[in-house]
Amino acid sequence: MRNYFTLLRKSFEMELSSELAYKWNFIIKSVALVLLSIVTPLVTLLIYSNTSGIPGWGFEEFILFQGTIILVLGVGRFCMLEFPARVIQNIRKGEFEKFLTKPFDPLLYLTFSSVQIEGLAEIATGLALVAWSFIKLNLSIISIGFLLYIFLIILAILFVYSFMILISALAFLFVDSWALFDLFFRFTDLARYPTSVYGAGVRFFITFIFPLAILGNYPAEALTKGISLGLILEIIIPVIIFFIISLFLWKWAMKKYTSAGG
Amino acid sequence: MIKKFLASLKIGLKSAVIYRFHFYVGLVTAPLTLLIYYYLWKSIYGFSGQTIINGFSFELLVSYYAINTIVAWIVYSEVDEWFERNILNGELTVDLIIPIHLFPYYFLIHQGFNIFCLVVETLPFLFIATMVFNIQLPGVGMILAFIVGLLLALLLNFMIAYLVGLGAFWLKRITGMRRAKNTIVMFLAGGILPLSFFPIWFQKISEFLPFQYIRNSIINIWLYPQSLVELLKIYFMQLFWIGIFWLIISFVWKKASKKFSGVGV
Amino acid sequence: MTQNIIEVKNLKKMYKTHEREPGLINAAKSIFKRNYRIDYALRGINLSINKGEIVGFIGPNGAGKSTTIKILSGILYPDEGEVNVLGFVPWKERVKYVQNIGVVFGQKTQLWWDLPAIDTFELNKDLYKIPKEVFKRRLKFMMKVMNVERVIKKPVRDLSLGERMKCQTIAALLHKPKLVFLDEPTIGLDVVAKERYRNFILETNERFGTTFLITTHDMQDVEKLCKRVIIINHGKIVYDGPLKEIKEKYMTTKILDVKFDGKPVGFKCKGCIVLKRGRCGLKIKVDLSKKKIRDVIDYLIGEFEVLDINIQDTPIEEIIQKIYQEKND
Repeated sequence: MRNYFTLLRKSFEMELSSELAYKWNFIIKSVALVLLSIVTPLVTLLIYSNTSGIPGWGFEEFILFQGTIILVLGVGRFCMLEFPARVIQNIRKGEFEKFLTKPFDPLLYLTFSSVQIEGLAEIATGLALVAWSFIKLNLSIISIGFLLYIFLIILAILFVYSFMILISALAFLFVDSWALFDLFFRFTDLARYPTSVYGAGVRFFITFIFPLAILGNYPAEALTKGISLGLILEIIIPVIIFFIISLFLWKWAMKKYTSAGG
Repeated sequence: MIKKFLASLKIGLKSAVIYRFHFYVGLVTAPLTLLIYYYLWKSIYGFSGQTIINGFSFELLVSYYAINTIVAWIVYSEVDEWFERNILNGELTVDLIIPIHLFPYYFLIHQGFNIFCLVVETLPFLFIATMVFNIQLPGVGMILAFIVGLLLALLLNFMIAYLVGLGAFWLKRITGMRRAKNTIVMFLAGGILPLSFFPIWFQKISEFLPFQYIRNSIINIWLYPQSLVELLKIYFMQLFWIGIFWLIISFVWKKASKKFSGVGV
Repeated sequence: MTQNIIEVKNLKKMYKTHEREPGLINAAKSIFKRNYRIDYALRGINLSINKGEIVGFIGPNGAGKSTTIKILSGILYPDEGEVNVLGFVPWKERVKYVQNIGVVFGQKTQLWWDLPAIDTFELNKDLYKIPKEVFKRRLKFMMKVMNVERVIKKPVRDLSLGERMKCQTIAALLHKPKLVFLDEPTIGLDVVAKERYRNFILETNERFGTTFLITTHDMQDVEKLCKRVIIINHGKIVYDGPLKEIKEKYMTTKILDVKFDGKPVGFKCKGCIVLKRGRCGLKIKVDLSKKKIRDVIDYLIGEFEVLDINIQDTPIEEIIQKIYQEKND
């Protein structure tokens, strides 16, 4: 396991170095990312100042919601997003074998060697938004709600990871997997608003079938409104199942790939 | 001259056909995005109890988002990304040894893509949107006015991307600039929220900025019947900004082409 | 009657690059402070080329060959110097100028990657305003000589390097340019294809009087194609004259790469120097003024269990070294 952490550290250093190589791009990008992180709360502010807002979610609560999802997807971008992208690229060029010849498990190797620095900006934005609404809403860190919040966020990150594994596995099966990558990613847009805005069908879909609601809705709900134990179980199970299916698909795809001889 | 231009358009169209899957994806995701906005605003309208918010009824706002998608696709430009890629790997050299200026060449190749997009993506989406979400078509006159505005918006948006792309001659990597441009243009052009949701003081300033003439003003031509004066005002501002960008691009291009070193990575 | 179609005077070009020590800390430091280095790619080049010539432009990596070609084809702006090609200053009036020339970069392709080569040909037909009949005739002729009739309808990405190079050359010559720059054109071609390619260039040169300026690493290209050679090193021209002279004066050695079955013991031969001694191989430099290459091979085969012999020309670096030596003497 220590090897994998060395790998992660090295990847981070390499990635940062190559970003720094383009000096002005790095500076402009850093400034831009900070500025851009304002856009999401700004849109929310404009909506809430023109209307009564989204039913069931006050302004601060909705900012907490958005901060949470930005944080979770930021973690995803920081250490996971690069991973399916690399799988797709290397399969296309017929160079995936190089991951099989390394003294690491290919899935873990890809996971720990894929870093995208930009994710840090999103993580920071997410944390800032969550912290701001936390204070405004007078929430306490020492509470069951907060414990649940942390737990559900970890679950959400697991879901993002499963998602990346799934896309990577599918890359072995479909030729034009970039399109698929794109398609899947647009589906996460469904998670950007509370489940309560949708009809029952969509709500069922993003809770149980393709549990996108874990990304923001349920952690934020657990913290601001409280959530019943039964519902928590109902949320956890689909995520775990999704993880297992993705892992299974990956193993299957790898087996198929290696036995076909590339 | 015309022959050169048509040839560039044609080659763009041909390569768009190769990447057609990319466009089919849009045909799935765009209705999805529209659906999300539909649900979001439905709950907001229901909660606030108003039928009209900032001049928009719920149906009109959904139409706004639908037309927004169509306008966004038609004026779409990724020429900044082309510059970044071609300068990083040195491929720009091969675009400089053919007897056509880079601006019309890239513009027309891009329009080849966009025409293909129009046929397989935009028009089918318009059809789906009108069927499912009950989007109203404007009168013939307004459709013509809409198309004129759209074509000018197309050129204006391309020029903004082109100018950002020229930045790659100095910075090589312009991912930061591109990200900033994409989000700023989208937000200030009314791509996320109609500008009437913005504070009045900002709306006043926005009239003098180029952004709203890429999306919001054009969408409005579709949604509301406009007087001739209003139309001319929009066109004038578009032409004004096209002129301004033309001057800046010519100036920057002169400097940029001197800067080009033609080496690959 | 000859006339100059390329006239270059005192051409200079420099690049500014930066360098840094390895490691993250140094990467972070480089944000604030950078060590810039100025590389002089060209340090004052003078040359003139006549109509109908085929000139070989050779030199080691980084000598300034590509930079010169890029300036002459209007892509790069020089820092100093005068250039006149076909009556144009290449980097001014680029679009009008490139109508008259053809350029092939061996490392980059002007063919549309995902489309069949024929689509690029047709694009060029319109861009260069080639009449339909002329286009058809010329394409047919070139396809036949290059033997690519069967590949032009396949997407370019599926072509072999050699096929791509041939198609690229066709694309660059369709409009019958008066002057053609070829930058490493035979990279990736096999022996037969190289021969075909060279014949094509010779034929084009003879039939249409096309002028060629060719950079290459393959001395065979130069020997087969060029009567005149320009050698460039560190941004300066060190030799400009007939190939014959180079051959007689400086290409006086050949390198033999020999593989044996077992360890070669007791190799000794007049006029030969062993450059490298491997476990089952020898790298031998043969001085042609003292010994015929044939005799060395006869000796090798007679005395040893030879598995393979590979004959190479004098490396360009050595020719340059000799030229310098002679200048200093």
